[in-house]
Amino acid sequence: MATMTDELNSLGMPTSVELGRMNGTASGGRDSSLQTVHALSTDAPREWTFAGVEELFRTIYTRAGTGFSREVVAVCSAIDGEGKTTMAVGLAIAVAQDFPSRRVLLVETDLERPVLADDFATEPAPGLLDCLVDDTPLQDACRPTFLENLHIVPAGQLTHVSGRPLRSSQMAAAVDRMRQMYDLVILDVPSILSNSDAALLTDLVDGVIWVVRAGVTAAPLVTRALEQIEEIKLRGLVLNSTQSAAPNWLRRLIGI
Amino acid sequence: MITKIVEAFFRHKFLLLLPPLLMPAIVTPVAIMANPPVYETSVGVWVGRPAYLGFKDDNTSAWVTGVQSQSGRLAELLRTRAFVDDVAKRTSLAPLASSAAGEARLNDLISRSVVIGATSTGPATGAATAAEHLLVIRVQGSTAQLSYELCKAIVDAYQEKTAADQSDDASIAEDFYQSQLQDSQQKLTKASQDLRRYIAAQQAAGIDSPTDAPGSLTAAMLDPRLGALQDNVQTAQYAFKNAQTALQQSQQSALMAAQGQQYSFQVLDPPQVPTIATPQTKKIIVYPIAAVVGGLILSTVLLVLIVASDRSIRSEADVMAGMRLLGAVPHLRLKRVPKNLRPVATRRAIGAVAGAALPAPGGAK
Repeated sequence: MATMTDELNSLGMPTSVELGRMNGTASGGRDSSLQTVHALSTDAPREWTFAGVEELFRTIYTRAGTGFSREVVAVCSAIDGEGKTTMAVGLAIAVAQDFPSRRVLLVETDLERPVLADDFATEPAPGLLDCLVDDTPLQDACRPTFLENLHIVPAGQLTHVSGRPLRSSQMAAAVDRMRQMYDLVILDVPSILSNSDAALLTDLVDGVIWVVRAGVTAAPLVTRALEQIEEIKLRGLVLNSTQSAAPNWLRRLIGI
Repeated sequence: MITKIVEAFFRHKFLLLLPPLLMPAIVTPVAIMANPPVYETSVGVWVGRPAYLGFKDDNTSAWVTGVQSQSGRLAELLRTRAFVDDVAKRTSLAPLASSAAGEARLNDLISRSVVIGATSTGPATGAATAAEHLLVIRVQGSTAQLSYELCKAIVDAYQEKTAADQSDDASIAEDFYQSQLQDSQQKLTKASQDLRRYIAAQQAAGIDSPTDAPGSLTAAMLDPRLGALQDNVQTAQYAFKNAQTALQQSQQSALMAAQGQQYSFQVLDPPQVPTIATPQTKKIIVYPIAAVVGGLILSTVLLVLIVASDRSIRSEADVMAGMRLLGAVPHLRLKRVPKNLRPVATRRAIGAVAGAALPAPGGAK
C-alpha cells in the first residue's frame, strides 16, 4: 500500500505545512508559547490547507467502519507520543464534516497531558474530571467547536483528585450517557503501556483504532500492548508520521 | 529486504558515509608522516657468465639468467647476519652491528630499504623492461649519504664476498691436487727404488742382465718380477703426470675465475649521492585506499546491523500478520516552527485541514 506522501506526491500536492504566517493569538490558550500556533477555531487560517489529508482520514474511518452507526470508538497506542490525539482530532473533524447530520463527540481521557482545550481554544473546565468527580452534568462539559455537529469534552482541570476516576463506575455511566447523546463518540485514551486505565477504557468502547508512530514503536511493544485489549474490538492500525528517507527518483527507479 | 536496506541507508546516510570519509582523512596524514620522502641511490651492474672460459657455477643453468642468479645470491646474502654486519661496517651504521638490538634494526632497515631487481626503468621512456644482464640495486635511506653508503657497501661487500668464495674454492682444489701430486710422487719414488734395488740384487748375485739375453725376448718377459716392478714405475709415472696436470688446471681455473668475475660483475653505473628526495607516493596512496575499503566494509557491517536490529514498524510490510492497516499518515514537515511546538502544530494543522472542506462559520476565511 502506497503511503499518503506517495499519493500526494503523485498528485503534485504539497506534503509540508507552512506555518510561518501564523502569527495570530490563540484565544483561550493557557500556554503563551503556543500563541504562534493557531488553535482550531473559526479564526484558524485556511492557509494551513494540507490538501489530501482529509481524504486520508476519510479512508481511515471508512476502513475502520466508523461513523456509519451509533458507536463509541477509542483511539489508542502502545506508548506516548505516537499521535493518538492527532488521529482522534482528525477523525472527529473528518466524520463531523462529512456527516453533518451526525453528532460527534471527542472526549479527552488522557488526564496527564490535556491538550484539547488549547487546541480548540476553549476553557479547560469543566471537563471530564468534573463530570466524574464533582457530578457536573455532561452537557456542561461538552463544548461546541467550529463545526456545529462536533463537540469536545476536555480533560478538566481539577487540582485534587483522589483515586482513579477513569476506573470508576461514573466513567462507565458517562460513556453510556455520551453514547445516548451522540452518534459517534471518540475517546482519546492514554497509551496502554504507560497507563493501565487505558485498557479498562477500551472495555467500554465498541471499537479500537490503534496508532503506531512509524519508525518509533518497536513491534514487540505493540504486540505486548495489543494483548491487553479484546482482539475483536480492534478495527485496525494507523501508521502515523510515515516518511521515506530514500529520494523520490530512487524510489521510482527501484519501485519501492 | 532491499527496501529496508535502502531506507536504512538514506536514514543513516551521514553515519554510514562517515567511516569511508573519516578513515582516509585520519589515515592519510598518518601515512604521509610515516612515509617521509627518501633518498634513493641505485647502482647498475652488468652481470653475465664467463662462458668463454668454460666456467660453470653451481647456481647457473640454461634457464636462469645471470641477473636472476646473481640477484638471488645477493638477496640470500642480505638475509645473513654476517653479510649484513659486513655491509654495516662499511657505513656509518657500524655502531649498530655491535649489539643484538642494533643488528635487528640493521636487518629491518636493509630489508625495507634495499630493492634488487632484474628490471630497470629507462630514464627516457619510463618503461620497465626485462633485463638479462643489467642488475639494478636500489637503496633508500633517510639521508642522501646513508643511501649512498649502503648502496656502495652492498656492492663492495658482494664483490669481495664473491671473490673470497672463489679464492677459497680454488685453494681447496689446489690443496687437494697438491696432496694428490705428493702422494703420486711418493709412489713413483718407491717404485723406482724397488726397481733399482732389484736390478742391483740381480747383478750382485751374478745373474746376467736380462737385457743381454739373445733373441727378441725382452728382459721383462724373461723375468716376471722385473716386469712387475717396471709396470709399477710406469703406473706411478702416469699418476704423477695426471696429478701435475690437474694441479695446473686447478690453478689455471682459479686464475680464470678471478679474472672472469671482473667481467661477469661489472659496475656500469656506480652509486652516486642523491641530490633530491623521492616522495613515496605509491606507498602513501595505498593507505587511503585501504582506509576507504575498510570504511566501506565497516559501513556495510553497520548497515546490516542497523537493518537487523531495527524492530520498529515503518511500513505496511512491518505490520504484524493479521493486523489490518487502516492508513498511513505522512510525516508533516513543519517549517519555521520551534521543535517543542511541532507536535501541537502538527495536530492543529491536521485538525484544521480535516475541517477545511467545510466553510468556516461566521464567514471567517
